[in-house]
Amino acid sequence: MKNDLKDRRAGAGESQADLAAAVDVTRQTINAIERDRYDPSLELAFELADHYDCAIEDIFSPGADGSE
Amino acid sequence: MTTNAAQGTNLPSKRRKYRYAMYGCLAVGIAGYLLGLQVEMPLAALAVYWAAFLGFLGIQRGSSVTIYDERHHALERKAAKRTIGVVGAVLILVGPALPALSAAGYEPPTLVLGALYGYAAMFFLLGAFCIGMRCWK
Repeated sequence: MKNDLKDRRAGAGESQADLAAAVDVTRQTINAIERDRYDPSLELAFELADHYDCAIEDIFSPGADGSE
Repeated sequence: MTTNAAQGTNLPSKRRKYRYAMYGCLAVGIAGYLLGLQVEMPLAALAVYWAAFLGFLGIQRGSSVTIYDERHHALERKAAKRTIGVVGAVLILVGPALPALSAAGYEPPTLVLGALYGYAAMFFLLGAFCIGMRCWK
């Protein structure tokens, strides 16, 4: 799954640690999501969308091949 | 989640602190256990070990922060699945070969037999949990 979390976070002037603390996960988890190495649970995706006051699909989109 | 952000600013350091405390408990327990065995006090060694393990569990369950998040659990699930795959392959390939080896005059070491029985028991347990979870979830 692709996402624009890194851009959103940078736009908001937050560090990975700030975002991790806000949604109660580790910084490594935010890092892994940003690098497309981990797809978050639906619950965490909602938390992230809620944090940036947008819809989940505004942050996440299916991978280029549509397989993920 | 902005309120969460404000109150959770020091969460990572807290999380790290709890994790160090957990691993510290384990380290103390193992060191205490080995030391107890060295001075020939096996009961005291066991008591220290169990107390340390209880400390580990207590911190894990009682901490105010999420020590392991969903990614940790996802990684653990993946690792467990791979472990089961490796163990299963060993069991499938080696298990049925034992009678043939015995017939050929080779007796496998007790350790190997014990490991295979252990693997088989693990798969039995896995199957039981799978069935149980399908029935109750």
